[in-house]
Amino acid sequence: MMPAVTTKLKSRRSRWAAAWLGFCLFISLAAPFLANDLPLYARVNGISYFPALHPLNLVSSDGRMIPASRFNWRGNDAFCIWPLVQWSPSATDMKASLSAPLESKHILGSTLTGNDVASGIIHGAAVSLGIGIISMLIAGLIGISAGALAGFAGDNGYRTPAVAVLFLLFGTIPAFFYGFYLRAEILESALREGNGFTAVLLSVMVFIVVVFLCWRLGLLAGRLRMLSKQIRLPVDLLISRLTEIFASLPRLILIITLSALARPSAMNLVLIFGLTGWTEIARMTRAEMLKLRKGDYIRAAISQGIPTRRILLFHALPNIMKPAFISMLFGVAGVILAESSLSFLGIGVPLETVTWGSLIAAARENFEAWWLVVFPGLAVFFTIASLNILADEIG
Amino acid sequence: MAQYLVKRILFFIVTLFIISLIAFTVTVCSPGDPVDRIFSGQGQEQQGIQAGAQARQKLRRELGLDLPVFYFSIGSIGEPDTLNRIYPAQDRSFVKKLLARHGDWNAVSSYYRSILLLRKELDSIQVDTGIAPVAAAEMKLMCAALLQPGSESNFIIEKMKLLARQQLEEIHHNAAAIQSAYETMERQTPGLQRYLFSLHFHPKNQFHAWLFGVEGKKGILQGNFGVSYISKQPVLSYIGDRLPWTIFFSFFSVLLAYAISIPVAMKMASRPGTPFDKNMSLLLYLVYSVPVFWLATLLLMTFSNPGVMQLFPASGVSPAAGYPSGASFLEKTRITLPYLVLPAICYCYAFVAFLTRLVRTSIGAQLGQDYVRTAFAKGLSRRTVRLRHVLPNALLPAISLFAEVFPLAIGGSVIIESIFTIPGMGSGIYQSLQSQDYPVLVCIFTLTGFITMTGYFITDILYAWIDPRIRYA
Repeated sequence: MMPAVTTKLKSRRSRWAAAWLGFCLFISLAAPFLANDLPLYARVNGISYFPALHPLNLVSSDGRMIPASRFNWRGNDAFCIWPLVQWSPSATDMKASLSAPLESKHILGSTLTGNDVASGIIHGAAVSLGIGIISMLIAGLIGISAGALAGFAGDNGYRTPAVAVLFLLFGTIPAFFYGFYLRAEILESALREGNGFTAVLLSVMVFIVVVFLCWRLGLLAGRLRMLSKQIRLPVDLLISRLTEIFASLPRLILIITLSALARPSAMNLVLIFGLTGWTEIARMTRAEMLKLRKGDYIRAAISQGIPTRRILLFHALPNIMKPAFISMLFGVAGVILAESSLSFLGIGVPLETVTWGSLIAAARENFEAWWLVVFPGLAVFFTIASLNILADEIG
Repeated sequence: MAQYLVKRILFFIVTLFIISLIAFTVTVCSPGDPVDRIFSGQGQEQQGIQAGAQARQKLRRELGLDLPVFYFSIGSIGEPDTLNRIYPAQDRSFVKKLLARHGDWNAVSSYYRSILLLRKELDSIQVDTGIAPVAAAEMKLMCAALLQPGSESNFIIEKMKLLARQQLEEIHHNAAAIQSAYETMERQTPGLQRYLFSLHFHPKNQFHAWLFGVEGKKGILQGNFGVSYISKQPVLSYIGDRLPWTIFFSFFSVLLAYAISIPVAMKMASRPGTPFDKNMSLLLYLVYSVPVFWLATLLLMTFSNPGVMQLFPASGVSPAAGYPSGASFLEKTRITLPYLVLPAICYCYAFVAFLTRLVRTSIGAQLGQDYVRTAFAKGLSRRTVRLRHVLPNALLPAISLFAEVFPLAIGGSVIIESIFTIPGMGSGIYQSLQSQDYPVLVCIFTLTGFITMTGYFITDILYAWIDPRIRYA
């Protein structure tokens, strides 16, 4: 990945794009410190507090101890250092409902219920970028492995005992049993509650471990003289077909349909985007790997006797990272677009979470509130455009 | 070509099967019980609770809900594969939990059956003699409490026996049976049986009935998608009015996109490297990155806003008051046109941007080829070379995209149709999500998946037909 990241960005627009993305990354990481309705530092009666960092710490006021989040920092004569935007995204300010920018203390305006737009944009950046990046990391993991395997092994390159394949296929049955059936109640309640991510991850790990064990058993069985018939597994064909199947699923409709079953949550979205978005990455990686295999240094490494695993990991993989990374950038742009479309419709993330899409949706009833459409929309537009420009430039 | 066709058709069927699997999973997992829904619509119990329960069981068997769910099922050796016959869903999960805790199916089933027997006896007592209704009702409550997981069953059973001995002599032996069954069950622990798996095959199952239909009820393949929860109409006819709008818009916007982008791309390619070319390229790239819902909302706010500029109507596809009577087809078209402009822009702008850049790159690639140089050397005019030789070759990748756009348009249609309130499939899926109308949701999902698959299939065939190199790859 290093060659991809340290490529000099030559054109002016790609430098603007990288600057904007860096800015978005910064404000999403620093969101609690940039937009919060608790001060960063406060001194009351000689005692210093950091309410933004520790909202649950107790503050003494008139002899009682109340949590910092409920203390009235503006009222008492406390010395406070406030963050840049003095509202959190869910803080309502009914005195300044639907105010235009620069009309009240809300710099970029406010919604009907008095939520600050600037604060919503800052925290929305965290949501969008978070969902985009994490889901693409998952997709990248799946896609790069699948594409590299498919490209490297080809249709003829992988010989295994036929018994091992049989063991692998039949091994999916106990794997499913131990991974999903025995854990059925846990999974069901976790998915309905919205924190299905860890439960599903654990089940998938159990599945993979059992399948792997059966595979090893099969390899061992293949050493017996009786069962040692070798076949050539068409890895490329299988993985390509799988990729095409996943690629032809209608993603947005799938998410809308599945959100009818499970409670909306960011984790569920990340899971779905990650599990359906890996096909482009796999396609790119496979094409690159096919090109690479024809080159000489792979053949030299094979002839030297370096084990296949090592060749894949240390010789081939670093060179196919660049197209995979470009696909991942395009993927993040797509996920951010899909996620903001979904939260515009009110599906996907819980309705209390403020994202760019939900801010634009708030403008549908009040056509005069142009600030609710322009500012969040510009944020989405700049982010997607920057990702596209950057990906185009690197490639 | 025939071999390629066969491969593609096989693949098409496999992916359709997977789509149907997903749709079936949504149908099975959707919250709410179909039997309850039908019963709550029909009115309350006619002759007591027992008749109601029996009628429900009968309805359930008719609907085919007591069959196993899929062709095969994996379970542990200790469990039977017929758990689906236990009717109320909480009872089923209760029995499963008991099985998980105690392992022996015989013990668990006899315990469950003894509770059910007691309930039946109580019902028959109430119907026959009407003795001690309060005690009977209390006993029933205790039965219900026993059937909840996590209750202190020992305590409840003791209370039951006491109550039976005091007031309800007839059913004392039932209560004693429950207690002995409970004690037998409590002594069992799940042995190795629970952790060993077994595979069961079921030729008759819900998926088969849902997809292919059984005698008396048609399946998905014959067009029976069930009945909408909200409007009580068959789903397919309910959706039938929505399909034409979505297809019309997709088709229309694709044609419009081709009509706009090919001339623009040709103009760009005729002056390569000029500021026009470069700026247009950048502009198209930026236009491509604009989110659909943002553009739609901006357009509505600007052009349909009485406060700013009212050039186009704000929503719908036809005047709310209807067309003036006796209007001819041309008149109706003229009136409908303003309603279609903004949605059409939203549908096709991204594709225009993408297509223009694609065709531009393609033309640029062709212009460097040898045959173009030959054509110029032969003395052909620039116009002839561009139109008759370069363009057909450059349009190859663009033509194959023709069918691929439909699937993308369907996905985008959800947003556009919701914003502009067009009565199409996209807004249909959104509305059915909001009103939790699961049969409609599943139907639209299946149809959309089908159209998507068809789009990709036609793309592949077109591409192979036009470009012979693909067939032999």
